[in-house]
Amino acid sequence: MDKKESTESWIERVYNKATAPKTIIICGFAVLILYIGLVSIGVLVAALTKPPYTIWDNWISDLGSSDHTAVPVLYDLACIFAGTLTIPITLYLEKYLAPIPRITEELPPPHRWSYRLTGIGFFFSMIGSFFYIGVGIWSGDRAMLNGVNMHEICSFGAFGGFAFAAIFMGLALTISDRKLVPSPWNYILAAYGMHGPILVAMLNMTGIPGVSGPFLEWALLFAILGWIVPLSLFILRHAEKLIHAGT
Amino acid sequence: MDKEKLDWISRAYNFITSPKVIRICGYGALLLFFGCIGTAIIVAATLGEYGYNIFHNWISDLGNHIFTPAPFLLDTAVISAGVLLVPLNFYMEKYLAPIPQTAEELPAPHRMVYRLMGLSFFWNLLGSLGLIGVGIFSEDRDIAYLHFIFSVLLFGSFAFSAIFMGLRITFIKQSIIPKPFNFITGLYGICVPIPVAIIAGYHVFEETAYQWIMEWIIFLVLIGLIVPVFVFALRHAEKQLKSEKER
Repeated sequence: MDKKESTESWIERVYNKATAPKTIIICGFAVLILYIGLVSIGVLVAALTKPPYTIWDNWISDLGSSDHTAVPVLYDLACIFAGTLTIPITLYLEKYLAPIPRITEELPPPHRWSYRLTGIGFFFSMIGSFFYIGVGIWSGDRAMLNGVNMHEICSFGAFGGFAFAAIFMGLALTISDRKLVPSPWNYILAAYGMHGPILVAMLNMTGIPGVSGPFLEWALLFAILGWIVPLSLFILRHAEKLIHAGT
Repeated sequence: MDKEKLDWISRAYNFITSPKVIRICGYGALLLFFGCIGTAIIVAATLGEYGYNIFHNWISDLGNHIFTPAPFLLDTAVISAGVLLVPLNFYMEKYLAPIPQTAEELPAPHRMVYRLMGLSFFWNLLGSLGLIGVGIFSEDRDIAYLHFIFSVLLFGSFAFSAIFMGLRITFIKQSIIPKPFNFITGLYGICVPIPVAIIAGYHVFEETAYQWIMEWIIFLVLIGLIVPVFVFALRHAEKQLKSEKER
């Protein structure tokens, strides 16, 4: 083991550390608690300190603006934590949905479509994660950078990235090994991932008569959470199993 | 692998990525595309009612009966190129991101190879779809702006694909494009198409006096990458055929 470790490059060591089941357990629980906790407290604080904040009339980004809340840092931190902590989870998902055989015992490999779909899903997930960190950095209070509306760019990147990632990762779930998400949950989750977030994203572009823009943005966030949260729970279950198996 | 045990999808995949099919598709695409486009320009410039000129006409005008008596030439060129590039895309992916099926084929390439080739494959496939769409919904049969939508899809997809293909062939060892051509074509793919596409996009959307020539420039920039890469793929297929014969 020591010999193997010494032959690995630092990138491989970082990758192995980031995708270790223990790291995933920490990141998974942390992202669920921190993100949902901070956003919920952010909404409560905004509604109580500078009313009337409602998800009907206010954009999500208003949670990061001192015009609408007394503590805008709550939402900024939620975005930065969520963006950062979803990176190891995406790496882990890709690693186990499309495992690459390194030794004879790991043969046969998955179908080529698993590699294609997880590769594309990984790319869009990374876009989503990095742009979500950007949403926190260039929050409502610091939206502009040299005349460029960085907040808007990052919001589009984050929502678009996660919505597209859900399509490709969802497709990958249907054809990949059932160890990560067992059957029939993989089909249910995949069907939702392929259709739910992108449909709500399209409704955000077209608008619905009688429904406010801010509420549609909130709906998109809920649609993405409806994909990411169950998937994260299955990933946590898988990581727990690996720890118990002593891998 | 035993032929009888393969399902029809695997048999179809093996057929379309066989060196013989690649040779037919490669030469077919080059001859049909350049032959038809070249003829279309000559016919439009000499026999067209208004005299076709690349400085004042869109590429798509070659598919418009107002500017040329033979609009089917452009339609044939783009549809055939779109269809014939699909097997070449599969072939490039197969050999630039090989998946080990037996112990002798181990070790597998780095995961980054699968990510980059998955993305390149995806964008190339969209590019092919764009080519076919541009041919079907030519200026003469433009319904609901589909010609414009497919044109943007075509240029954008091939420009994005160039980045991922470029990264793959420049930085990671491969057998299709020999040194130093891999560095030249790879760096060209990473650095040139996207900036030129952005400049061309600016001129087209702002409707400047250079909009027509800029469309031709981005077209030639993409051809400048796609043609050498696929010529090397043809060379690789020829080598495969030769070694098959020697066996």
